[in-house]
Amino acid sequence: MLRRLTPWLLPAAILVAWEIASRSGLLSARILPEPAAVLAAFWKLLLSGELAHHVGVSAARAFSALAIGGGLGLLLGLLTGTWRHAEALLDTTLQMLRNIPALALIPLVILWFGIDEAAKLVLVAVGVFFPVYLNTFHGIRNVDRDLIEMARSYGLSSWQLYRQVILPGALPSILVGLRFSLGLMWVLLIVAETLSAQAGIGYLTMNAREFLQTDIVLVGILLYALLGKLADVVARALEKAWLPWHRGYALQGN
Amino acid sequence: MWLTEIDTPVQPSEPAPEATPARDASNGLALRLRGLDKSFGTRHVLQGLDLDVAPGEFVALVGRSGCGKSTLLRLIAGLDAPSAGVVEAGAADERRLMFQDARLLPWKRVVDNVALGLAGRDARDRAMEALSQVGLAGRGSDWPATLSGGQRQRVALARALVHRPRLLLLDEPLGALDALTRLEMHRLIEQLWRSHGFTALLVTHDVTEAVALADRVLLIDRGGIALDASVALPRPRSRTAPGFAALQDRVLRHIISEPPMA
Repeated sequence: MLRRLTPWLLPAAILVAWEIASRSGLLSARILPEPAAVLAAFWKLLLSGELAHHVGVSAARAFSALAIGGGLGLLLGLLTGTWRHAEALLDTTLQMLRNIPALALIPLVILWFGIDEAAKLVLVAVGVFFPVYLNTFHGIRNVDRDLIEMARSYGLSSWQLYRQVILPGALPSILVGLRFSLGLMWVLLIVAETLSAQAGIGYLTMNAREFLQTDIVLVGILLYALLGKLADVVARALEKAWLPWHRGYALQGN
Repeated sequence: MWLTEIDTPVQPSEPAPEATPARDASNGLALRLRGLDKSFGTRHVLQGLDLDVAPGEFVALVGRSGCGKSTLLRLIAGLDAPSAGVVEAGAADERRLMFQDARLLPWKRVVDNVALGLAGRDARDRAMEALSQVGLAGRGSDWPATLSGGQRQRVALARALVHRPRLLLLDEPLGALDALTRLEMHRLIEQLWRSHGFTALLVTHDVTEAVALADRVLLIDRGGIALDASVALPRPRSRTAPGFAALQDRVLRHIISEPPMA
């Protein structure tokens, strides 16, 4: 029990010190509101339904962009990983594009797509594309040649080989790519929503900033942190569910 | 020029009737190699190798490391193509190869590893039956990562046998196992060979293992067969049986007396 509590001691101490500093007037509410005020703002937003609305909008944006960018990355990664011709045709181009930070595309994205939903989707989708693509490609290329040779000599057809040996062998690497993408997804979303938005967590915080509502700004920041953590938990759960055989994720025999 | 000594005819001898009770060898596959060459670049690993193996015979290939015995096995298995010559070793689905490492798919449970490449509704049942034949009946639903090295090779053996091969190729499958586990595996392989009646070709660097298991011990050297010794000891063989040590000694002396290739 004590061991489980230990990691939380420091955050709790910081919260208490922060609360005391705010109440004693050491810390102005304009700079940092007290924790209780943040909690109150959170509660108010939750009751009014605003919170659910904005989180819903942000999550929908994030995950549709992930579906588009990650899906494309998976597809192209499978393609270039499997067929040398596809690699020869696509990989150099993709490797060059990879070196452009997604955020450097903002001016161009705004010019092409304006500042609507499409711009945000494109920005996030481009960012999450590469981790999935690269890890899928390498995952497929790094499947143990010996296992492939064995499976061939045991009479597996090409499709069976792909389905039973190559894909499962590449899966750990693909999931690593997905986890990277999930982390990147929120970062890019924050930037995209801060640029301009009519709804979403970014809108919530930018709007609050206009009115110096630092408590709501803080709620927004904490929401991003929470969602980021949640995405990580989901990624871990996927790894546990899909890689039960993997030493790193599960040690149970059954 | 490569056959420096042939003390028994290359044509296989009949299994000594007094040594073993009759075993059904009709399931075995006859193996025939003629003028087999294999070179990698300028390095000639095998040159003009001829070999006949009778159905159901158990042949061990020994030799220094790098002498080409594993290469020969890979040619017979059809994993590599010979540079020249003829390999007659049946169809691909009539032969199965056991590798040096077990090569189990880590993401498949043990029983599904054994059922790899099996079709039909009874695939799982057949896999379970093969597992019980190698003494792992209770481990079907385990992950390969939880098995010991010897158990993994037993799963690999079950995976090979479930296809009812007529020719079983064993590429130093016991090399990485401890001495005790090896003795167990010897007993198991011999027993399965007797009951299934397949032709067996075992590559090993362990002369004792070769003499303990095989009907014939072939020494591969300089791209050819340098010694072809038939083993007429009764089965199951004891290492203390008369003649065992003498034969082992003879093969060993042959290996040592052949100077390594420059």
